[in-house]
Amino acid sequence: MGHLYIPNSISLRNFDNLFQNNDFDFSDKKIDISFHDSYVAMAPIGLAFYAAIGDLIRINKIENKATLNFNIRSIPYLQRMGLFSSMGFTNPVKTSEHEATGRFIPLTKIRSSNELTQFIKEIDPILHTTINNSRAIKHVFSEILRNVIEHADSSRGANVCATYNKKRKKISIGISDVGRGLMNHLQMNHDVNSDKEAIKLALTPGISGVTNRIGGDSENAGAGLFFTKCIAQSTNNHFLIYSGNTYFKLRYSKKKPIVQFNPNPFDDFCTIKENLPYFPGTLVGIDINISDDQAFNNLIENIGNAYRLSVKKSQKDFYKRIKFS
Amino acid sequence: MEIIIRDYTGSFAENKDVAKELREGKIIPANDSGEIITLNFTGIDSSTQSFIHALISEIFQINGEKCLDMFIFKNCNKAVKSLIGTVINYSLE
Repeated sequence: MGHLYIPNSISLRNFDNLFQNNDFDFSDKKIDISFHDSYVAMAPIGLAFYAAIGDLIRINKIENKATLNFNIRSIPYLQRMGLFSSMGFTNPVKTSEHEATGRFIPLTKIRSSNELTQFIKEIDPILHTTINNSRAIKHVFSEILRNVIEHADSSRGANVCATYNKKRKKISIGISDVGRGLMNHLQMNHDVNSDKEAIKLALTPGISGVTNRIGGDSENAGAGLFFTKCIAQSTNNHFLIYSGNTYFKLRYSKKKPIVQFNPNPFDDFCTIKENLPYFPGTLVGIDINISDDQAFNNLIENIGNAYRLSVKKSQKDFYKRIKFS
Repeated sequence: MEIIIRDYTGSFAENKDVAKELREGKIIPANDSGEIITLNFTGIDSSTQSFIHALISEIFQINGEKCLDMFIFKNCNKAVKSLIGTVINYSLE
């Protein structure tokens, strides 16, 4: 019987806890799930990951059972975020359900373009953000979730959740799917033979899975993940992407603010780990704390310039000739 | 020809399917017939690079710098101007 151990704490910072005593091998169609015995702290990256495990359980009709210490103090939080139901269990405790407003977005399924549009419309009231300071957040949700809808070939759509830390003014986002993964998608048009290479290509500006043309095609610029990574980078936050047997984690140094966006993601201050337990889809986690309108405008300009220079190798700026009225 | 983007997208313009429909159904035919195209962003708070790319990148890539005289971008806020500038800059050689 396969075993899944849910550890004491999972966040972008300590993501490796996910692999403690786990190989994610459920090939015998049976899985025994156990939780850390005293406390489980779980950021959106962890919630999105286990929601994907729940999708795999359903798709592969895996027989599952779980052992849980009902005295764990974080059970109401985990339950409210949708962890147990997403894994196919009934909620373990009776709670009075708080409104989500202002603090979090529980695990939510996004299966279509219209569902995504509706989801994004509801972000401002839920997270108590304003139109001006939620631009980066909406940008990230849209880019990553559209990647899933358009490219992942995921029969169960995308899982998304988020939490807001008011003190740090930071929003943490987790998004997962159990589709074909980055390597299978990119292999359609690129010569790529490992998950590490696939992650590198996926984060390289101008590379899209739908064409081998640098700069993409009429609908895909190959820029979505690059923009997302740069948003995390410029606000000195973590970004992580895990697909197949590899993850890439953008790290940050409090002493050295990032000033340039590298076209080659492996030139970033990052950790890359291979030979991990195989995850068939894609998991993305990001923290964002942009709260200022001007910062977002400058950010998009700077990221756009980095994209242009790496794809076109051109210094020409046409901005002044564009007719804005 | 003038297209009021908000009528198709709401205040956050991100739906690429809508961008594709506008590009193929309205923008390319109008461009082919030599019309000046006004993309009116009144009421658009923000957008995504992917939306703006799907809306205009192809036509700027194919037709080059002369497109700069064929398009008017109306009532764009700073965020939308940044995105349009970014997409046009990388679409034109």
